[in-house]
Amino acid sequence: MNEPSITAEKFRDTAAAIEEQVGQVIVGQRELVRHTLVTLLAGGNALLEGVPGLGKTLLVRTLAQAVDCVFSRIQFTPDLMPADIVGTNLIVEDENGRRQFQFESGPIFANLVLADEINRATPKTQSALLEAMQERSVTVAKTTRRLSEPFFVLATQNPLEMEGTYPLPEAQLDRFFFKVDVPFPSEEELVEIANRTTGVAIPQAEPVADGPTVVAMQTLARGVPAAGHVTAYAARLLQATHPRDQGAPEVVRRTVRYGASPRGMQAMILAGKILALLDGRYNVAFDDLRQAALPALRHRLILNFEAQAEGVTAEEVIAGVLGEVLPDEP
Amino acid sequence: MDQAVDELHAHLALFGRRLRLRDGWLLAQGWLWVACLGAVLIQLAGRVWPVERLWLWTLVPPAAWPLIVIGISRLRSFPSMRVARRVDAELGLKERLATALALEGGEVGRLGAWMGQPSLLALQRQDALAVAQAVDPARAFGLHWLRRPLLLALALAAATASLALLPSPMDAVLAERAVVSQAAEEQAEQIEALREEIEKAQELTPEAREELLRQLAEAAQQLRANPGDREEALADLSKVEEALRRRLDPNAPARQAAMRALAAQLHALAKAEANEQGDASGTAEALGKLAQLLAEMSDAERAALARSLARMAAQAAQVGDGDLAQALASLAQAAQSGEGETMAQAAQAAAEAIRQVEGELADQVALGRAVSQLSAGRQAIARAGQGQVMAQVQGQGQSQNQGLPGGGGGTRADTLPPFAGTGKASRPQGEGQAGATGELDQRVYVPWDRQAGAGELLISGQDTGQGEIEAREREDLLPGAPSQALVPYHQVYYEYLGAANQTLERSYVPSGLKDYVRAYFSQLEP
Repeated sequence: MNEPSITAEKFRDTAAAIEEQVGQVIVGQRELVRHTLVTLLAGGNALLEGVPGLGKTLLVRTLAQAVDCVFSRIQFTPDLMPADIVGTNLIVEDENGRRQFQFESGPIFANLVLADEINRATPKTQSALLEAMQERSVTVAKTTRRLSEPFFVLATQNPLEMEGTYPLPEAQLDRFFFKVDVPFPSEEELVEIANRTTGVAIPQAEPVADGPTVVAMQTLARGVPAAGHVTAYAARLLQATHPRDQGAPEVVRRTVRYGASPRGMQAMILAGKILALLDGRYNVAFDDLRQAALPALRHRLILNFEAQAEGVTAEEVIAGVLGEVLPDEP
Repeated sequence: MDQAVDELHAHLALFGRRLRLRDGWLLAQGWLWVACLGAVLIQLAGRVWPVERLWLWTLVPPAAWPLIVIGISRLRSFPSMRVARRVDAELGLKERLATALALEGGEVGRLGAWMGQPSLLALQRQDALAVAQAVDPARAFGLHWLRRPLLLALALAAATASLALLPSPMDAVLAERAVVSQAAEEQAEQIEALREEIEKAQELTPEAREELLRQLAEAAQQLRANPGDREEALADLSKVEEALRRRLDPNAPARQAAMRALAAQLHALAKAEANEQGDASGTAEALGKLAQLLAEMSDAERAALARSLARMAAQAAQVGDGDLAQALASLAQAAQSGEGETMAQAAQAAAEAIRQVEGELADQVALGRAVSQLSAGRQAIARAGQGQVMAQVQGQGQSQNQGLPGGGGGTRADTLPPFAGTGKASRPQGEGQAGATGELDQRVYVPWDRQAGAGELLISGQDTGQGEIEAREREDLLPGAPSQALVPYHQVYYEYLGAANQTLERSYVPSGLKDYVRAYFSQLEP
């Protein structure tokens, strides 16, 4: 891996600038913005869950403007085909009249992709996107094409209208770095939204970074050191989400069918590194892990029937884990 | 980089010392109440069981507490990583110090090679060092007061002091123990003095003397080892006394009288002056002289001498001195025959038999003295401190004492020798007169006093010459008590004492009455 062409101070300043630019367009939603940015800098993909009209699309669009990257949006519908996402080979005639196949790239070939209402497409189509997310490449007609860096998918789900949807299977959910809930704005935030969007001048984000800068930031973030006892704590947090683990809290034993996968631990540590840099530190702290635990683990827990019957949410389970699994006493 | 690490270690060492001090300070305060609670418990235990030097024991937990705290603080391991993690946790340093410390070794190379970003590691170290430099250990790890644990400890200390100042029911027990222990020591000294006397007495037979000395030494040793337990001391003395008493010959006074008479008669026959003691050497000389006179005697005189010697042999046989009787009979035959040489040999054999009898009688006298000494010792230990206990028992409840001594007197009348049980012993001693001793004790201990004081033959109970007590038949005898049997008084006494002790242990009896019963039996101690 090459030496990152960015310093820690530049990383922090750039991230702050991106947040500031996004904040000029998106009212409130600080946590949403922070988690989305962390996912981008970690090189992962985020799953946003929230009712329509909360600014999810605007957030991705604004983020794309701030980092000056190519943005595309795919509205997932039941009749959406994989080729509609990755592209297809078309027969075209050249100037000599010869016909040949020419690849017409789909909307996946962008830096920031918004997969709107991803659960409305069929699993076949969903898997096409998820393959791209995982491999950072697409294969059409035996030809593999790399996606450009940075590549960031931001998928959305509507938690209300579940009829006619295809919920993402656990294996595919596991591929999302973070799952972020989009809360409904407060009254003050609604007033501010009204002021900003109903006037003459619509605020626009200015580009404060570019693709190579984002890639450099991703590389730098991975170099933040994490001490052994900190990494061990992340592992303990993860193990505690498994009901058969000895250190699992009672709420986990009672409500969880399967715990989080190791990707959850990787997400916590990687997010912790980015949060540390954003906080002006050069090492991962326990608090960074605890801060990242909720978005990193919530979509990786599979609750049992009892939990669903009692209305226990993954967030409550993770809160229970964080409440009982504390760092070792020095 | 190395300099930064060295500086970081120096700071961590400073933090570690301060943390050790602060931890010890908090430990001492936070758990001081445990030491105070220990003191309270010791004081409470001292009110249930008699504890010697209770105040010293009470001070042990508070005095040991600082030593324990110092020991724990010194023994507690404080490696640098632990210090770093504690400082991180307490001061909210976000694992800066611990990470810098963890990555100072091989991890740096491994991570660095993997990440290719040594600059971040260096930045992390500098960041950690800067944070450590900004920490003031004295302020960060201040020595604070823990009010709640200290107040709890203070309350317990006050409770301890109150318990110590209030009178304890065990004070009387301890005082009695001290008195008993002192009495036991005095008796041990007296036994030792008697033992020295017996050791110097050459007239005793060696085997009997050695055995007697051993038993007396054992008794003295047991008394000295006694911690103030009256029952134990009495039991020890009784055991030795019983062993000695078994060796006492009830015929010893008769044999003594017979020997005196024999000596007088032999001296008269030999026309020799009897020495004052009438001991064996004088008697042997008289026998030798008698053998010399045989040649000068007429047949009638020899016949008279033979008859006298035969009469003496019969007297000796009557009191049980068989060997002496045989020797005197042989001497009588020799006198009858008139053979000088045979007479001289028979006289020598008789003298030897007389010496043997004299030695055995001397053993009996020594045994009698020892028994008398042990008996007196028992009485002294039994009476030691009784005045204090009686006074306390009297003070605890006069109404409870009414009529109880009367019952005791009746019981005692059953076990006393007939001439001692005149009825006075069974007279109830009235309201609260638990301390009454005088007349009752005199009557009870008369047989022993006679034996010990006059050196006469010990004949307890009815004067049967068997040295035993005849138990009188009665309808309400206690279970196990023999009827129409000859039972030694001391044996009966200990059976009753054992039954009483069992009742006291197994039944609910007010503590004041327990002391009363014990005192009662102590007075009945034979």
